[in-house]
Amino acid sequence: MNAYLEERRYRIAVWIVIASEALLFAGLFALYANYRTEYPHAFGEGVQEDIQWMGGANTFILLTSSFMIAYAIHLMRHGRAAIASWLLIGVIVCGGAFLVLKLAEWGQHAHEGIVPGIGYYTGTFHGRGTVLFFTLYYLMTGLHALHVIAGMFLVTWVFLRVRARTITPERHMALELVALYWHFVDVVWVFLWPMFYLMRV
Amino acid sequence: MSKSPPSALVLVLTFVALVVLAAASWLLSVAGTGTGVALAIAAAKALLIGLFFMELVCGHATDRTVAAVAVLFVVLLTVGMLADVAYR
Repeated sequence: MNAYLEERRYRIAVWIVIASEALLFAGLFALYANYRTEYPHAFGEGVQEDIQWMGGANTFILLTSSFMIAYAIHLMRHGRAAIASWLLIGVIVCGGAFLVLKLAEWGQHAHEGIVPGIGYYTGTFHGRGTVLFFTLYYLMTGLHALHVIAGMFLVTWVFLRVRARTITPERHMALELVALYWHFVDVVWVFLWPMFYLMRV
Repeated sequence: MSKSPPSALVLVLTFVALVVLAAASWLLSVAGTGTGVALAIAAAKALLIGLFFMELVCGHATDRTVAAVAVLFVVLLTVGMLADVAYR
């Protein structure tokens, strides 16, 4: 099989994986839309309970990581593999920073008594609506965090291959495919951010 | 690829646009705008990432088709759910 057909085959496969992942999140988005319509006030209060600066910082971190991996591909195409590999380290660091902030936020919520599965502090909240909001919050941000972890493993794998020179400026399809996945993870967060941090009204 | 991929300048401008849109989204949220504005800005950001970082702007027709169908299904599912809630 020639290189072009091989690349097309892998690229379509990754796009289909991304499409099916999008449908996985779509089900949860639809669930969120349903319950938000049913409990608008409780969801607005839930949004205000989330730690705003952490959501904003995580957005900036993921947008930056997306830019870095896109620029790493640009550099790789222009034969600058060494600098591209440094950008890949930057992507891994961004992924780690995102997870640290996310864990800190979950920890803060747990400290306040907002713990999934055990019970929620609902003294000042609106009962069932708030429980649904935080259940979706933990479910969707948790699922997204798992995708970030998977993405970090993949980026680490391509970084090691760049260092080992098995990914080269002439042959770097694996980097492009991993970058597609990382961008998808970013796109999911782009929607989770307003849903859980911005839509107060 | 049918066309050349985005240049370094396009990538930088896309990143700047994404940060500006994110900042606008946060400011509008503080100002108390509704869900529609926040989701519209999120959709604009997703479009920018898809077109320039994921290179759909210069990608093969098959990639664009798969991406478009995925988006269509997501929208269909969400709109269908909202329509169901609205007419319950």
